[in-house]
Amino acid sequence: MSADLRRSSLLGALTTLLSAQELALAMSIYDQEFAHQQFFLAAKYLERLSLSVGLGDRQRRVFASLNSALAHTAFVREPRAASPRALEGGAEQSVLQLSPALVVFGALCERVTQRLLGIYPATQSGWPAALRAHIGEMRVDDAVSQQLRHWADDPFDRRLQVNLNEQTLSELVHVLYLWSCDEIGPVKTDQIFAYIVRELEQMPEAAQFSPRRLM
Amino acid sequence: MNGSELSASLVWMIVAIAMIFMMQAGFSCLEAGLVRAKNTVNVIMKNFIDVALVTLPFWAVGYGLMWGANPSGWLGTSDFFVSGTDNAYLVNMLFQLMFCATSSTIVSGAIAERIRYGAFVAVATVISVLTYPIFGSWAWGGTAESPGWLRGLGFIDVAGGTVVHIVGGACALAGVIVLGARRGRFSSQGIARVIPGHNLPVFSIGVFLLWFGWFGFNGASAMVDFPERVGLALLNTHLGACAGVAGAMLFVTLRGRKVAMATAMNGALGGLVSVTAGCAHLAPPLAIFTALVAGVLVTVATTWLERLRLDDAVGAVPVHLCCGIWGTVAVGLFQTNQMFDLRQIGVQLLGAAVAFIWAFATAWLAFKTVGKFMLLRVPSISEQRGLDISEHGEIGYAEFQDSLADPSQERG
Repeated sequence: MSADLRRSSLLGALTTLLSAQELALAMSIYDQEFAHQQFFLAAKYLERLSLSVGLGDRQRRVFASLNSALAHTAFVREPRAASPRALEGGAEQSVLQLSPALVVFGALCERVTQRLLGIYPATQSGWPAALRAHIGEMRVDDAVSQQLRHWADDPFDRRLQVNLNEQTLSELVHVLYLWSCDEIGPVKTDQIFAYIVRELEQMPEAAQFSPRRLM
Repeated sequence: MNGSELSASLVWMIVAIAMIFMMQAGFSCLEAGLVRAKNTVNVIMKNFIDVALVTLPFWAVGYGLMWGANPSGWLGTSDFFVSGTDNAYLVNMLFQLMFCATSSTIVSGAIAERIRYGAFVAVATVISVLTYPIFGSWAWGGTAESPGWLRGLGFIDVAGGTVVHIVGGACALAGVIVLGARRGRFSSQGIARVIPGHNLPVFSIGVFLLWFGWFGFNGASAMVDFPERVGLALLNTHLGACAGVAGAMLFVTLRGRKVAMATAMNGALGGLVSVTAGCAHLAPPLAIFTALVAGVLVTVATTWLERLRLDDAVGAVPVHLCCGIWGTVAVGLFQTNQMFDLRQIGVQLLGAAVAFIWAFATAWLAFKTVGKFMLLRVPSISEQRGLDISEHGEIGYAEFQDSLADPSQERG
């Protein structure tokens, strides 16, 4: 996800929850301290924002709104560039119709990869190769496999068709889990996934599709 | 009771049976404490099934192979499907049955967190029907006139340091090799990552229970062949545990490291294993020395295993196999009134080597054969979710455990 797209997602998420003055401060904090970061962690941004803006009991809603907006935005095609990785045979769409399962899946993947690559940057070098290897072992048809390989190439620019079923989504999450186990060990992996699952349970979409179903 | 009375020795045997039975609870607590919370039910079920189910085939077939008439010196040929009313005979049979459960349960901890439950039951059955009793027939079986071939050479193993612990440890090593490491246990560069146990207090309770049960293990075994040395066997048992702790703690401290509880407690277990073979034959100072070395051996062997990228979840191989071998040889080195007897040392080495080769080979074959007919290792998704859910459909700590998976998804 580009910085501009992320910024617009944050703006959209915070507009209804903050006053004009608070919103200006929030975006200023983002521009100065977070815009240049390759891996954006919503929790860290919220923590920093809380120091300057008294969120009070709005904190939970702000966090849920941030996660939801970032997850939705991950599936929006950026308007300026034609992607070399366009969906095969599919008409281009600005926004895909997202099921709760896909929203939760997207949020989970993004959080996991952000946290892993942000906290353990040394793992980045092995990222696409490790995922591609795992995807190669999955029992899916060739068309889906190709889309999954496109996804593996860029974890922050995912364009998946909506017809992936829960089983496939779970397998993809499992791929992330295995990669994480190999890179940082099973204990830290369990801790990170458990934390993120609890985080995502605050999303509105989690009421219809629990992130635990992907585990 | 028709005026008949149980002899004191028989009463002691009965009490010892109960104490050795409690060792299953000890193994359960020890292993449960050392694995992750999501696999607790699974390890306990493995230990439970050892005593609940595996002993049935031993009663039916294994006991006869081990203790039946053994004219060839290689295999028992009678006493299958034991029945009757002779107190001494039946109590002894039950006593041996408890030993069998101990040997197969040693395997369960080493390969925790990745073996299919059904596969483990199958392999444990093979161990209890073939591996353990056949070696037992060589080392203990037969009569004075027609002993097992190893026994006939003068091999000494009072309480199972070889028959139970080397056999169990070798089977565990075979399982560790065949199954491979838990996911993420070793990095791609071979660096071992610690997977800490989820409940060290429960682990410690397990060690205390094992220490307690060991008095029955060694004391009752000594009663069978060396009744005049029961006191010595019991004293050596306790001294062995203490010296094992001392050895482990001293070694770690001299290397400038902190003493972890698992280090100290596994040292105690290593000490207990090391004095088991010779508990009625070692003078107390030499029992202490033997166990002191065993305490060091446990910590060193643990490091060796990790360097070889072998994942033993609870340290069963260092404790039972390595300390069992050392303890078996120590009998030849330090036997009272017969120290450094070269012939005895040779026989002890032979017995240890045969035990290891026999147990490792049969267990390896058992794992491989079972793997041909059923899935031996759980799928990686089950490692992720935890074997409690994937194998048993339940969670060990329903109120407190933050399971990643949705348990309702697993119930059929």
